[in-house]
Amino acid sequence: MLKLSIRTKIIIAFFILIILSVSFLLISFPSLSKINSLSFAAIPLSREINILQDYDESVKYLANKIELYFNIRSEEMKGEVLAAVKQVSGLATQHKHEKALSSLAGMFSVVLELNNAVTELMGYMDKGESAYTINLQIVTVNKLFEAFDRMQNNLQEARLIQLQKNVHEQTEITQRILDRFLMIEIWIIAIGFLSSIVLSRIITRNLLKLRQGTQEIAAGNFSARIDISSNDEIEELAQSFNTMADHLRKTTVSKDYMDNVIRTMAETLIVVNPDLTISSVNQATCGLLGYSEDELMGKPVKMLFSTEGTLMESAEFSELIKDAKLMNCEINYRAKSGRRIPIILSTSAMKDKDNNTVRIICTATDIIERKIAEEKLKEVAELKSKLTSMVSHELRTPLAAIKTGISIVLDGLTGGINAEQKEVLDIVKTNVDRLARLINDVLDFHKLESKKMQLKMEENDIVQVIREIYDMMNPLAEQKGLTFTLEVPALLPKAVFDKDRIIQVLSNLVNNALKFTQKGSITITADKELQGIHVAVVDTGVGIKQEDISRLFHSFEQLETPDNTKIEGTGLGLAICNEIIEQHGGDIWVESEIGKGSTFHFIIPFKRELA
Amino acid sequence: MGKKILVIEDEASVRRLVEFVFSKNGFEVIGAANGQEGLELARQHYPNLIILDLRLPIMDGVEVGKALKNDEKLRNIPVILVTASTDNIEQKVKESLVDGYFLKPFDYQELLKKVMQLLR
Repeated sequence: MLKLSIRTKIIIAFFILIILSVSFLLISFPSLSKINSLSFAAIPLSREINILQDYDESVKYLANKIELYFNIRSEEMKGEVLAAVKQVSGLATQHKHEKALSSLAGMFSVVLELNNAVTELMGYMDKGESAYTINLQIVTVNKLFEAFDRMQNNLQEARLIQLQKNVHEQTEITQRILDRFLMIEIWIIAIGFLSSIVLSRIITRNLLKLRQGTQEIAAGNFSARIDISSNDEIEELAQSFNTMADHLRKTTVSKDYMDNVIRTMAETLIVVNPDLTISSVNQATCGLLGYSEDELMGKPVKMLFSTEGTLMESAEFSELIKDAKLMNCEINYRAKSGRRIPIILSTSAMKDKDNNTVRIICTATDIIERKIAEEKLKEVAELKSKLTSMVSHELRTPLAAIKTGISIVLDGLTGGINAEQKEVLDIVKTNVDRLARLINDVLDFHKLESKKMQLKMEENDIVQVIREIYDMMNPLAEQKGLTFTLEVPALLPKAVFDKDRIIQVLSNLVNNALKFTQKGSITITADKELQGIHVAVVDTGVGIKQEDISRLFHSFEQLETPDNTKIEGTGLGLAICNEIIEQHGGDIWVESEIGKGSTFHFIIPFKRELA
Repeated sequence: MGKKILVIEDEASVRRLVEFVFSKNGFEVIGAANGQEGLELARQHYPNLIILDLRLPIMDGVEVGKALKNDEKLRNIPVILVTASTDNIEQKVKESLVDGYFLKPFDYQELLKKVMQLLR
């Protein structure tokens, strides 16, 4: 097979045909020029024949006139004879000198001689010469007539033969050319026919292969390959098809892969058109909502959502979907059954080159499990709360009996007791009080933490509160040999706070200061700051390690003292303080240096910012 | 002459100790183990003061308090509520219309002081 492009093949076939035609012309050319020269040669021949015939007629006319004159001897006849002589001789004289007619010169001479002889005869007859002389002259004239006749006949015959030969030759050559032309024509037709068959066979065979291949590819068999190695445009086309099939296979493979991913993903996926109708959904969506894919196509996406029980308005929600601005938004699906399913919804916009939104992709996770867990947590919290109050109640009742009982005995209501009995019962009473405080702390903290504590927010004077604390705690400080001082201005603007709770905070802080200070002083300071009343409890105690400060306000955190002495308490005191101040909208913090002491600060804002 | 105090308390040990304290301090003490019994005894004896537990069988402290304060003959008797539970205590005190309350475990001397103050 020729490894040439179709174009080249067609051009080659065309050239073969042109070469054939040209070679035909080349072969025919000498024959044609021969015909040409033969035709040219025929022209003088025909003229000579014409002239010969003319002369023949003229001479015959002269002979006729002479004969008439012999019969009718008149001046008129004589004149006609002489006119005929004159005409013939004039022509002959003229023709004799014509070069082209040199082959006829002999005949012209004879004609002139004949004319002379006739003229002489006419002279003889005019002069009345003797019959003899006249007869003699007639004989001469007759002889010349005969000579002319012969000559004329010979010449004419020769010319005719030549002309005949010429025509014959031309006919022959023409015939030959015609024959050759016919043969070459047949060849051209044959070659043209053959080459077109071959070419079309080459082309169509590959085209058929191509069609078969493309049909197979079109049918979805992307691994089909068209095997054509014709080294031409069709092969190129076939290769293009193969490449295309390859790409198609790859994209179908990746599309299948992506389809699989989307189909099997647990999250629900809804593709939404810009007009907020549903473009497509995945299996998880259908499974969760109980719709079939067909039921959802083209339907408004709004039907799948319910804003009931959320913070969002339905119209606002539609806008947010349209702008693809939802990110981890808690909302509900509305299933076909009407059931609402809590979900977390996120949207993203699919954009084209011009940044126009073409689709909105909504993905949502069903958080029903989480909601159930949240409900359970709530139940657990409620249970905890019930348990806490129940336990504290159940503990308090026996504690009341113990405390009252011991107090009665200690106070001698049951009769006198000795010093040793008193010492033991004192220890019991101290611990009963401690247990009671512990229970109170746990309950307080629980209430504060679960926001069940209702603060009695009223306008109060912090100076008065501090003085109350001072009066309450000063005896304890004196007992320990500590100086307890106040650095408080006589007048401070009133602030809004729960007096009992702030007393709880301050007494907690002062109690801590008393606990951790062995010598030196405890000072309460208060002043007015921009955002509120700033209160600080300053001690000269053991101090707190920097790394412990962050843990200080956490619940159930009890720090080790530098000398490792165990300090009684629940580890809830500061956590309660923190909660109380926080619920007042204030701030609590500590500054401390080991061995030098600690300062606990808090701020009560003038006005609590209500949430 | 001794003044009469009614102690309505379902917990026998606590009731006994309170009775003990008040009888030692010259009061005549009557005990009741539930709300209904307490209310009946109050109508029977017209005590000078009532110490009322909040959580009680049959009728709880709030109901008893309300019944006492809505009774023409009993409404002037001071009532002190004693409770181990702090849940909504302020509201319960208001509802039961009592004259004061103590959180268990209380200091009996404080209670005594309060009783004296109310009976003055």
